[in-house]
Amino acid sequence: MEENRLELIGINKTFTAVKALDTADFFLKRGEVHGLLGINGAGKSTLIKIISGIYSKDSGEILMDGKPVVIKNAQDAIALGISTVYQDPQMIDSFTGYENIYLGMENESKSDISPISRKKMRDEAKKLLEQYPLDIDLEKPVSLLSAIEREIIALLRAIARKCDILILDEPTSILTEKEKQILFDCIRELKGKGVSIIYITHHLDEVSTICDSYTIFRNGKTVASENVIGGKVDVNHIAELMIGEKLSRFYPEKNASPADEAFSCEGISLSEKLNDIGFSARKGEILGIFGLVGSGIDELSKIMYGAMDYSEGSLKIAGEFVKLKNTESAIEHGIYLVPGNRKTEGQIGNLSIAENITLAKLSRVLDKLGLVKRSEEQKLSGELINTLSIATPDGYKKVQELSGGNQQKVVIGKGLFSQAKVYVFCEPTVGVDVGAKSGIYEIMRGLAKDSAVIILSSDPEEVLGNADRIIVLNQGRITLQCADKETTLKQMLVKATSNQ
Amino acid sequence: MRIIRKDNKGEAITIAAFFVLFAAVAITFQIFEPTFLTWDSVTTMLKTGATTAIAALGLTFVIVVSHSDISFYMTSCFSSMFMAWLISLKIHPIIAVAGGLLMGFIWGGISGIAVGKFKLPDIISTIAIGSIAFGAAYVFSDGAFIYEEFHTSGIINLSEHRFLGITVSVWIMLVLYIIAYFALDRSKIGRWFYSTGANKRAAFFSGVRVNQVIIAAFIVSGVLAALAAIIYDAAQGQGNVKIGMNFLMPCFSAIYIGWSVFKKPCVIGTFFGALISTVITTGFTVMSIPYYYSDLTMAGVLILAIGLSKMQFKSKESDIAKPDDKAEGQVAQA
Amino acid sequence: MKKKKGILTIFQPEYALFWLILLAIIFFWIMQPAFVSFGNLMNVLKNASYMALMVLGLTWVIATNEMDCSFPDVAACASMVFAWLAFHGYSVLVSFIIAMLSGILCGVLTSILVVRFKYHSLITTIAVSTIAKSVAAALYGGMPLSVPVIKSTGFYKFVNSYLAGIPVIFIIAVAIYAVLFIIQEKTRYGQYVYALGENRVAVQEAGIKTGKVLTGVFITSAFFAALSGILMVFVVYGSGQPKMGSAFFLDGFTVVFLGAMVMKLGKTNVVGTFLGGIMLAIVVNGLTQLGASFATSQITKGVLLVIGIVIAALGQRKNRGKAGLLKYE
Repeated sequence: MEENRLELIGINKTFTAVKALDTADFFLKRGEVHGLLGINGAGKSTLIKIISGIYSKDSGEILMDGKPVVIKNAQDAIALGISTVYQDPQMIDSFTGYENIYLGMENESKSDISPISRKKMRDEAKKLLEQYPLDIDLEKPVSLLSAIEREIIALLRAIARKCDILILDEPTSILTEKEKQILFDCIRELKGKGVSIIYITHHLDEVSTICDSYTIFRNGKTVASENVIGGKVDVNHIAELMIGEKLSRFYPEKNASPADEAFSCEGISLSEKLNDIGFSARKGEILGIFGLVGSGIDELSKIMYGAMDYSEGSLKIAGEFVKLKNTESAIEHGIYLVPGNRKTEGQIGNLSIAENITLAKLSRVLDKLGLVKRSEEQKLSGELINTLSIATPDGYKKVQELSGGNQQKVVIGKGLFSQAKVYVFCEPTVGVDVGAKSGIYEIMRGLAKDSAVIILSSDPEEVLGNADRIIVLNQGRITLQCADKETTLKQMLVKATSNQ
Repeated sequence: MRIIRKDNKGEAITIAAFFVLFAAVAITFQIFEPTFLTWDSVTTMLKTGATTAIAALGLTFVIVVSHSDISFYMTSCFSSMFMAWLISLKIHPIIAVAGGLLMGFIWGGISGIAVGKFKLPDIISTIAIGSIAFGAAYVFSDGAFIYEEFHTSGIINLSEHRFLGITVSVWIMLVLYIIAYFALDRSKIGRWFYSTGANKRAAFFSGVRVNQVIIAAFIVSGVLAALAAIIYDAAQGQGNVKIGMNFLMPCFSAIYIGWSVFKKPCVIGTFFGALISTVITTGFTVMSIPYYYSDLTMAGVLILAIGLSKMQFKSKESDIAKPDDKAEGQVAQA
Repeated sequence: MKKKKGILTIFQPEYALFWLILLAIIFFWIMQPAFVSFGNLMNVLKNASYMALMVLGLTWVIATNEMDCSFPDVAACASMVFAWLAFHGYSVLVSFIIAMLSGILCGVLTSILVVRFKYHSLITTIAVSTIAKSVAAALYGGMPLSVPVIKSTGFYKFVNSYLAGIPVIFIIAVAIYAVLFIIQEKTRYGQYVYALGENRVAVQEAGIKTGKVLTGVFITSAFFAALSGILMVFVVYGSGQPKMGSAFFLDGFTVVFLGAMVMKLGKTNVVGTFLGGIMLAIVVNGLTQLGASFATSQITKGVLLVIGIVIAALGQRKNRGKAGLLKYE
C-alpha cells in the first residue's frame, strides 16, 4: 500500500507577476485521505487546478503510478480517473439526483437521440448510493436537497465516472456539524475502496478526524508533508507551519492615533449568516476583521455599505444612527467599500481609468450645465493616478487592460475620489502580486490618518500585519476582539477555525 | 469626440472605411439615378430618415444598458393613434403631441418596471407589452386611418414646415441627437447608463441606482419611438395604426452599424448608422427597386455590422488577451 | 416543499392551464352556445394543430435560454417557395422538399451565426427573419401566390380529410408531437436541452458539446416553422402568404409561454406548447364567434402571454432565498 498513486515534483506556475507555485512537491498514496492545507494564496487551489487540468503547469513533472502523464485539459484528467468536487457543485437544479449523477453519460451510445433508460440510471445510482451511509431521495430535484445531499450527489457523480483520485475542495464549508460526520463516513467508505482523496480544508480540527496525512503549503512552496499518527495532530504546530514564524511580508509601520468614533454597528444579524455583530471603528486607526471564506465577512462588508439588507441591528456613522437606503446614500454618508470581488463588483473593465475613478462622485467634476468637465476629470483622476502610483500612460486606458494590482488601485481611487470618511476593504489583495500588495497596504495606512479604515480579509497575516485592532469572525459570530498586540496569528487562526 | 481624437489607428481606419463605404453607396446610386444627389432629394431623404433616426436614438439608450426592447415599435403605434384621435377631437396639436408622448412614456415605463424592477426577461416581456399596446392602438378607430382635422389642425407642420430649407422634423431630430449626445457621452446620467450596461453589479457598488437607470432607458425608448411615429403620421397626413411596424429592423441596424464603427453603442454611431440605412433604402426607392430587396440588403448589412462590432483590432488583441490570464491568477489565489 | 397529495394536486400551478382551458370553454359556451358544437370544436383542433406545429421547435429554443424571432417569417418563406415551385409546374413532392430545405437553410444560418460566431440570438433571428420575409416577398412581388393546382393532388385531399370526424391534420400534429415528446423525455438530447437552459457551466463541466445541442434546436425550430408554413398552404390559404409572419408572431410566443405552466413549471416544453396551442385556438375561435375586434383579441393574447411569463418567472424563482441578495437584485 505504500506506492504513490500520484506524484507532483517541482511544479512551477506563474501568473503574470504572481508566482503561485514555486517548485512545489506533492505525493498522494493509494487509498489515503491526504489533507492539503495553507492559508489563502498559498497555492493550494492552483495545485489542484493543475491536477484537474484547468491550468497547465509551467514546469515540473506529474507521475501516476510512477509513470509520467500529461494533463492538458479537464477531459485528460477525467480520463486518468481524476475528479474534483468543488465547494458548491454545479448542478442542474430541476433535474433529479440520478439525472445529475449521470449527466453527460446517460448511456454508452454515441448518438444523442438514442433512448435513455431512466429506470436503469436510477437503479444504478441507487446501487452506488447503497454503499454509503446516507439515504437520499434520488428522484427529487436536487434543488430540494440539503447541502450535504448535494455534496454526496457530486461525490457519486465523480465515482460514476470511475475516478480513483478524488479532490474535495473545502467540502465542509457549508455543512453543519452533523452533516460533516455523514460526509466523513462516506469518505471513509471511499477510502476503503482504494480511492485516493485529496482533502482541502481550512478547518484544522478536521485533519485529525479524517486525514491520514497532510501537506502544508506556504507562498507557493511545500513546507511540510507529515502523517497523522494515532488520530491526533498538533493544531498549533500546523498553524505555525501555515503562517511561518513571523510576518513574511512587508507591512507599513503602525502609527495609530485613534480619535473619534467614525462608524459603528450594533447587533447586526442576517438570517443564518451573521449573528449579533457589534464593533466600532475610529478615525485614525485600522480595524481588521479576519474570517474564513464563508464566515460572513463578505456579507458584513456589504451591509456596512448599504448594499445588502440585514434582519436586525443598527449602523451608526459619527455617532448618529443611519439607515442606508442604497450604495448611493452610503457614499453620501462618506462610506466607501472596496468590494471583495474586484472583477465583478469593483471595476467596470470596459470603461477607462478616469471614468471609473470619478463614477462614485461625479458631482465633483460637473459644470453648471451638469456636464462632465473632461479636463477637470483628467486632472483630478491624474492626481489620484500619481498618488496611488497606478502604472498607466494616461487616464484613458481601459481598466481591463491593467494588471490586478493596478485594477485594485483604481477601485481604491474611486473611493478616494468620493472623499469618504470610512473606508471598508474586503479582501483587498486577492489576485494582487506581492509588490503591489505592499503598495496597497501603504495606501491603507495613509488613509487611516484622517479617516477610519476597516479591513475584512480571509488572510490572517494581512489582518494582523495592518490592523491596530483585531476582530475574528467564525461562522457569523465574533469569537475574538482585541488589540493587535494582544493576539497572535496562531490564536486568530484557531479562533477562526475551531468550533468551540 | 474623444474616441476619434484618441490615437487609435485601428478605429481611425474603420471610421475612414466607413466614410468610403458611405460615399461608395451614394455614388453608386448617383450613377444609376442622376437625381439622387440633388438638394431636393437629399432633403427628402433626411425627412424620411428622421423618423427612423429618432426611434433608433431611443433604442440606443436601452442597448447601452445591455437590454433589448422589442416593444418600442409596437407601442409607437398606440401613441401615434392616440395623438391622431386627440387631433380628430379638435384638441390643440401641441396638447395632442404631448398626449402621444405621454403614452410613449407610460408604455416605456411599464416595460422598464417589468424588466428593471420585477426582473422579468426583457425580450419576451417587451414582446408581450408591445403586443398589448399594438392591440390597444386599434381601439381608437378599429384600425382605420384617422385623418379628420389633420390638415386643418396644423399638425402637418411638424413634418412639412421648412426652416432654412430643411423640414422641422429634421431639425427636431438634430436637436434630439445633440441633447442625447451630451446626455449619454458627457453627463453624469450617461456615465450611469454606460456603467450599468458594462457591469451592473460594479455600477451598483459605485453608487449607481441601476434599476432606475434601466427603467429610464425603456422610458426614453418609448417616448422617442412615440415621437417618431407622430412625425411619421404628420408626414403622411393621417394617423396610421401600423405606422411603427417597419421601425424594428432599421433601428437595430442603425445601432449595430454604429456599434461596429465606434466599438460601443453610442449616439454618434447610431446617427451614422441611421444615415447609411436611410441612404440605402432611399436609394432603392429612387431606383424603384421593390422594398424587399432593400430589406434583404439591410439584413445583410446588419449581420455584417454585428460581425464587425465583435471584431477586436489586431493591435489591441495582445493587450486584451492578458486580462484573462490575470483573472486566472486571481482565481488561483482565491 | 411538501407535495400536496390526492385531489388537491389539481390546484397546483402546474394545472393552471387546464383550468384556463376549461374556463375559456365555459365562458364561450355561455356567451355563444354554438361554440360547443362538435364541428366547431374540431375546427378549433384544426387551427390549433398548425399553430402548435409552427412553434414546436421554438419551444426548445426558449428552453435552452435562447431566442428565435424568425419562426413566422421562415414559415412565410417556406409557404411562398412551395407555392412558387408548385405554380411553376413542379410536383408537390419536389416543391415540398425544396421549400423545407429553404426553411432549414434559415435555421442553419441562424445556428452558424449564434454558435460559431457567438452572435446574440435575438438580433440574429431578427436579421434572419428579415431575410426570409424578403425572399418570400421577392418571389411574387410581395403578393400572395395562389396555387389551385394542388387541390387535385392526393396530399391535399388527405390533409383536409377527416378520420372518424377528427381532422387528419390534427392527427398528424399529435403524431409529430408524440415523437418530439419522446425525444424530449427519453433521449440524451432532450436532457441536454433543459440542462443547457438551466446551467451552462454544469453542462460544459459534464463534457457535453453545447454547440451541437444549440445547432440542433435552431434547425429544429426552422424545420417545424417551414413545415407548418407549407401545411397552411394546403389547409388554410390555398396560396403562399409572404406576409403571414406578423400574424403569427405574438401567437407563437403566447402559445409557448402558456405552455411553460404545464409539466415542467417555468420551462417551455412540448406538451405545454401543444396545450397552449389548443388554448389559443379556443380563444381565437371564441372571440371570432363573438365578433370581437382585433384590439380585443390582440390584447387578450398579450395578457395571456404576460400570465405565462409571470408564472414561468415565479416557477424559476421558487427556490431562491431573499437573505443575502444585493439591494438591486
